[in-house]
Amino acid sequence: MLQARIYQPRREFILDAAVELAPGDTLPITGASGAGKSTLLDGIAGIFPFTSLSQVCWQGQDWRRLPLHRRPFNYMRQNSRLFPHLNVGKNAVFGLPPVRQRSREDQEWLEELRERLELDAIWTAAADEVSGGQARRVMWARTLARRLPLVMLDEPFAELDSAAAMKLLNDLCIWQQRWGFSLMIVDHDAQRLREFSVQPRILQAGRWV
Amino acid sequence: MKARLRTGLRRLAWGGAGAAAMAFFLYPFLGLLTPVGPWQWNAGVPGSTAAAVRVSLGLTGLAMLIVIAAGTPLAWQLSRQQGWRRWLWEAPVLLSMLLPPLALGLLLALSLGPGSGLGRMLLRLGLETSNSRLAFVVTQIYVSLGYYVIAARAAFAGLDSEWETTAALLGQNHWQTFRRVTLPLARLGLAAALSLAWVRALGEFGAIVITAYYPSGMPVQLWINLQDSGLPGVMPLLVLFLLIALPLPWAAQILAARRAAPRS
Amino acid sequence: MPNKLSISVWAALITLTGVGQTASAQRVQVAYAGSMTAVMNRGLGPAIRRDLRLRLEGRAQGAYGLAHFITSGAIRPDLFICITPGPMRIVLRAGFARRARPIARTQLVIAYSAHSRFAKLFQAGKTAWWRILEKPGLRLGRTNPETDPQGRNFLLMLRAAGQKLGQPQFADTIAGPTLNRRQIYPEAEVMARLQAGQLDAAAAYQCQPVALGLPYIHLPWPLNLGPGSHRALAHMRLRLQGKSYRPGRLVFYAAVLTRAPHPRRARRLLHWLLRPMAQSILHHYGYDAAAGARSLP
Repeated sequence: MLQARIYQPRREFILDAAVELAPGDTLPITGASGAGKSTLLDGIAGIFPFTSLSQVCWQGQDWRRLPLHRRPFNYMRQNSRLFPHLNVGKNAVFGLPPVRQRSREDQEWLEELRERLELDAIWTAAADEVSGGQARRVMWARTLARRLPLVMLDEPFAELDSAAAMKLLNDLCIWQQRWGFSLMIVDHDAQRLREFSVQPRILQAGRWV
Repeated sequence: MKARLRTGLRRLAWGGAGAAAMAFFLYPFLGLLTPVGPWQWNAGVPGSTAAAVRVSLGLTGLAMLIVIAAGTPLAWQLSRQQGWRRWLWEAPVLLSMLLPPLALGLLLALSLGPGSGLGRMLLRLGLETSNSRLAFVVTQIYVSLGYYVIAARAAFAGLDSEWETTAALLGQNHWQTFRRVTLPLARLGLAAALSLAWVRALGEFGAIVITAYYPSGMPVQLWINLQDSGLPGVMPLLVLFLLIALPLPWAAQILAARRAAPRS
Repeated sequence: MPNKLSISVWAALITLTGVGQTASAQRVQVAYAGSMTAVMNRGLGPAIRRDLRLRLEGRAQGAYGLAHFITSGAIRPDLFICITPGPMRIVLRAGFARRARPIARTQLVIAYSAHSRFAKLFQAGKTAWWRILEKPGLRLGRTNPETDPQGRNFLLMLRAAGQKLGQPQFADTIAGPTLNRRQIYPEAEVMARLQAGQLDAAAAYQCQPVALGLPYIHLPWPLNLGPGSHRALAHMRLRLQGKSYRPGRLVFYAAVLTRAPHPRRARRLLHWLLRPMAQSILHHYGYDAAAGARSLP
């Protein structure tokens, strides 16, 4: 159970939004650009120090007390990029322990991601040799490789054509059912979010509509 | 046609300016052509040249390892400091670079030499702090650490903090982030910092001639040869010095510039 | 992460370079005037190793600088050797040595460059030395009289020569102003420029051109500041920055320092320096015997 309230002054407005998300549930978020969608996710992740009015609780645990790298979520930020000094494969497994220490389940999951995201052909390519869409798929693998109970995706379909986006969206739904993670997904395209069974929530000038 | 002429002219101007700068850098080496009589490859004591090369390479190499080990974390720390804190932390580093080498040599000799408390203590442990390898390495570290730290700090500060955030979001702790992301991304700058420190330490004369006349590294040996046999004894050592000092900075740059080799 | 490899690399480097070396090597540390570098490195050093089984670790610098290094505690050699009594007196007065023994002496000469267009004149020996120095266009080198005794001695010599020749302007004609920028270079540099042919002639102690294989001409007594000359020239004075200087005795003094790390080795070395073996090496390198010179103080 995620219980969060984010209070973050911005230049044009004050973001003040509460989120409650039960395990396995989905929260699709949409809204005009500059409405505070990314600020909300960044705020929940706690990338910048929490303001005193913000509060993020996961299964009753206060995230203020947990360093960033120990918080149990996978988060793909909007402006994520591949590490330029690592090739595609190394980028994809960046969050996983070294091969020898990986569980069998992890390894099988990685193989599946690799196949579904069509990374085989570019696995050894340098980070700057792949196209924008390919890089986006590598980021999907990098983000999801660690199976954690909360997944936050900020504009995960950017640079992907609509067919590829739909395919990934379907995969995401299947994976969510299998692993049971809670999902927060931000997309400026409200139409696409309708694919989820849950009604998208709209953020406007820092508040829920 | 006119545009082509203009680009041609611009290229010529740039090329000319570059060539002039290169000529300026290389000009002093014309001095090597001065007729000073037959060059003496082993002026002074026979074998002194080989010994000086050995001392310079071995001890400067050791000093560089310590500079890297101590300077890299410090530079990273400095790159994270903001505002007055940063000036406060940087002041001692700058101070170490500001001292004229001769003054530094005197201060080191007085504070670390056999007359000082620390020097006496180390002497009791059997470690000589004047005219010894220890004094040599300590002096080299002192003169080069500041250069390494300031250049490495710039290399770290030039990194987008986004990379470190991304690594943390992928579950990497501070040390893992530093080792897997910060270090490799800053490697070009760090290699330049190391080259700077190496050149600075290897060429150090003013301070080392006071703290560690022995064991004589190449700059002190140059001085000894100059007094011993004059220019014929200096010229060969000079050429040797260049041949020996250059490869490390080059190698560091080349290794750092090579992209992480793709591996299946 | 520090792994086995990096630890062994460190260990290898530390052993290889011997940073942790102890003070066991039989070495003797000598601080001496820069002009003695050649005889120390090539002549006396090997002989000391053979006869005394000591490793000579020299430190060659300007004698006044060394004297101040010693009295400030910045360096702590076993033996101090300098030329002229001045630097030695600093060490003696500060209590860093009790007695300085004369071990050799030298004389003032005019060294010249073999590449010089005046070289033939010097070599022929038909023209008086002062006539050659007077030649227009001759590039003369000397050391800074404010900091270096050799520079002062050269100026004093020129003045004494002027008196002898009945030419009161002689010294000014040759040397120009006391701090003539076109003539003054650091000690080691004067000889280097002479070798490179950038100077035609320079003031020098006899041991310097001998060590470098440079040609030189003698000066007549007492202008060469040879034995007894300081009495003959006792009336000469050079005023510089409020201080008055007399012609120096070109004697090399050696003293065992009171804070020597190895006083016994230093004493052995000093005795050895006075014996015929060492004296013949010194003679070979252009030094004269110190006969007649007295110990300091």
